[in-house]
Amino acid sequence: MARRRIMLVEDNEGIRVGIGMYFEAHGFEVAAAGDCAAALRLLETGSTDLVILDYSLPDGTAPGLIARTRATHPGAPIIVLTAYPSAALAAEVRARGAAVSLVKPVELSYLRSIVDYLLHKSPAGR
Amino acid sequence: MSDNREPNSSAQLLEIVERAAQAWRRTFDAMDCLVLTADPDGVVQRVNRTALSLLGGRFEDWLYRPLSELPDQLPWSEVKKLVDEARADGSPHRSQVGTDRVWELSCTGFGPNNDFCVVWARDITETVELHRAVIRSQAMSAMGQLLAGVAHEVRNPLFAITALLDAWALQPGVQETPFLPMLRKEVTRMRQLMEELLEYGRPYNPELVAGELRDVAAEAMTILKPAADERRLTFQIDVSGSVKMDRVRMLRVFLNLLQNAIDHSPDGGLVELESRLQTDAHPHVLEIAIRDNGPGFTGEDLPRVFDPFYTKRQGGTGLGLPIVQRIVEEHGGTVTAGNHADGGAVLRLRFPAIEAVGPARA
Repeated sequence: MARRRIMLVEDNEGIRVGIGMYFEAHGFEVAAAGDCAAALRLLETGSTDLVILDYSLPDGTAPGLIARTRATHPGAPIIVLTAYPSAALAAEVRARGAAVSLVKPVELSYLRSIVDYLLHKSPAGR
Repeated sequence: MSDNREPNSSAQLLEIVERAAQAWRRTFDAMDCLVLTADPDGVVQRVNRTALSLLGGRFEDWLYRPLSELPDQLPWSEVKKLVDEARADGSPHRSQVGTDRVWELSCTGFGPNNDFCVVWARDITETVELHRAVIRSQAMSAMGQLLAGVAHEVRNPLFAITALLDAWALQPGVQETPFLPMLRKEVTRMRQLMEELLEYGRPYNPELVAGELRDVAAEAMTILKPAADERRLTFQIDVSGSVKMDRVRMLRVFLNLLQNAIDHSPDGGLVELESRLQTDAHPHVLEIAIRDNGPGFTGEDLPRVFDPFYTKRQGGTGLGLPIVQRIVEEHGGTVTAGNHADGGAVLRLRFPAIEAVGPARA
C-alpha cells in the first residue's frame, strides 16, 4: 500500500519539524510549507491525502487555504491547528470545510489517531 | 417638618412644638444608621433605635451616661474617639474603620453655638466589598487580555517543544535515556500552568443560564472518580438547587474543590459535599459546603489560600482556589475557607438562589 501523504502548513519551525518527523516515523510522507504561498505551490503541484493547517500564517489565515484545498483536493480531510481557543474560530473553520480544529499544544499520538480516523473515513484523498 | 398656621394661643403653640418633637423623634428613629448625640462634657444625650439595637438594653440605660461607658469594640470605640476629637478642637471629624466589618462614621463637631454634637455610623462592609470586587474585576479584565495575548505566544513554542519531544521519542535508543520523562514532566507542568493562568484570567461571561448544581457536581465526580478510587475515598454528595451559571466554568469550580479535597484527604478518607438553602436573605442564598477530613488549613495559610501562586503542595500551581474564587464572584457569589470544628478543611460557596431547592435543609 502506498504511503499516505500529509501536507503540513505551519510557520513555526519546531512544530513543523516535530510533526514532520513524527509522522514520517509512523510511515507517512510529509510535505511541509511555512506559509500560504508555499502551501499553494504544493497544492498545485502535488497530491495529498490530508492537510494539517496552522490557523495563523505570515501571509494569510487558514480559511483562505481551506477554500483552495477544497477546490484542488476535494477528498482530502483538513485539520486546523490554532493557538486561539475560541468556539467562534472552530465554527468558522468547520463551516469552511475543515473536519476538525485543535488547540495547540496537541499530543502527537492524539493528532495521529485523528489523522488515522479521517483517512480511514475518506480513503481516496488524492 | 413645617406648619404654616400662625399660632394664636399658647395651647396651639404647644401642640405645634409637640408635633414637631414627635416628627423629629420618628425621623431620628427611622434612620438605619446609628445616631447618637453627646454634650461637650462627653455625656450621651440621645441614641436612636438603630443604636439601641446594637447596644442592647433600654433607652434609659444609655441616656445621660458618659461616653466612656459605651462598649470598647467597634463602632463604639470609634464613636468615643471622634467625640473626644470634636471636644478637643470643636471641628467635624469623619473616619472609616474596621477590617472584617467596616464602619463609616461622622461627628458634626461642636462649634461656637452648639451645645451638642451628632455622631452617625453605618456598616459599609457590603459597599466596601463591592468596591473591592469591582476593582478586582477591572484588574482581572486587563490581566485576562494580557494573558490571552501571552498564551498565544506561549502555545506555539510549547507545542514545538512537545512535538519535537514526541518525534525525538521515536528515535532509536532515546526511550532508555532518563531525560525524556523528565522533560515531559516539566513541559506538562508548564502547560498546566498556562492553562490555569488562562482559566484564571478568562473574561467574564455575562450570559448565565439557570442550571442544576446537582448535575454539575455529578459530572465533576464522574471525571474525578478514578483519582478518588485510587485513594479509596468515600464521597458523600447531597447537592441540590439551581443558580444562574456558565456551566463550563461552574464545572471548573467543582473540579478544583473536589480535586483539592482528594489531594488533602488521607487514604480511605471521607469527603462531604452538601447544599443548604438560606431563606433569611433576599434573594435566598444557596450555600455549598465541601469538607474533607485532612489536616485542614493552618493559621498561616488561611488568610492566603485565595492568593494566586500560594501553595505548599509539591507540583501545585497555587491557582486552584484563586480560580474558584474568581468564577464564584463572576456568578455573584462568595467563597470562604475555614476549618471544621471536628477537623478537616471546609470551603463554603454562597450563590444567589433562583428558586427553592427541593430537599435542602433550610
